[in-house]
Amino acid sequence: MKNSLKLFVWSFALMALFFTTSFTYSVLTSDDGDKLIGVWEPSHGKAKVNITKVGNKYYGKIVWLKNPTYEDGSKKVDKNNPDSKMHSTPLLGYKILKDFEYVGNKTWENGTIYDPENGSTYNCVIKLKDSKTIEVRGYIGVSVIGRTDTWKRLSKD
Amino acid sequence: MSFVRLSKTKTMKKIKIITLPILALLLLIGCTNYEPKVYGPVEFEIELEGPFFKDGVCEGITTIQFKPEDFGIERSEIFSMKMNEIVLETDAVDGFSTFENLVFSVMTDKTETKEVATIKIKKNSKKLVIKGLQEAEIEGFKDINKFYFEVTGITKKDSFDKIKLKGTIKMDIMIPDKK
Repeated sequence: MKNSLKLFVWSFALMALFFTTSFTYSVLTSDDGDKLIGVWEPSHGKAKVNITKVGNKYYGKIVWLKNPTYEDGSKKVDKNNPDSKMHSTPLLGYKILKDFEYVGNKTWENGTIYDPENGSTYNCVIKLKDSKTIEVRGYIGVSVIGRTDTWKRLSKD
Repeated sequence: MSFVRLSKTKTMKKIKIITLPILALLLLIGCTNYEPKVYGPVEFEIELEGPFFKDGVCEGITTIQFKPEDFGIERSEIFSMKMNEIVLETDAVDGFSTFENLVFSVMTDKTETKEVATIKIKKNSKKLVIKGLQEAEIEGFKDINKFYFEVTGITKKDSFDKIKLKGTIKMDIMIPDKK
């Protein structure tokens, strides 16, 4: 009888420990992932990108352009997109970062980055260097062949 | 010489064993026809928020449950999804003239995000019927139970209220043609 009680208490304690650890881990990792949320500026300074979370993935949209119009005054559009039906879509509001998932260790993977200047989409990995800096690496095929750009967070004030 | 010929023959055999099934599989996939089954219309309501300054970006997202069984579609047969049509209405005094452009995206936790429709607003109206981009095909849709439908708008005049939109979507669910 005593042994069964001991076994019950131990099982209960282990289960409680397991659930507490899993819950804490999931809360911590989710919070870490959300550190990507905010407005960021690529190194060229020609655009600002707002990164948000939808479901369990992260997305980035162009919310500001240094030169929003062409020389004739018309608004810049996605004229280099391989899909001609997107050619009249304005670059402002364009979703250039798609489908990023937080994988831990201040890294977001499995996403893509779109370069409106050549209409190409690249695989992409984002790493948080510090609270105000991310490294965005676009690549084709394997991560070794690619280019890394440093983006700065824009303060909310 | 005969040894070389023998090894060549063996290598050729190996190559044939590996490549033939791959070719057959590719041929099979290439020959599979898909027919669309209409899913919808599904009603939705959405509120667009943003800075609402001229040339600003505003956006709204709504979650839509995906229940193919309700439209007589066998989930296991689903290959992909294409947007067929979006009908959008607004009660705003200015109608859709507030916008220069609207882009519609479908996002899920398991599939690739795609822009499924886009429209440049040319005339003022309170109702829009937008055809989906047939090139935008989302695979793996059979594994999802809900998706996020996003509307992004570029405003061309200032607006200080949230913009409420309602409408319906119809999707083409692509399933293999059994004929």
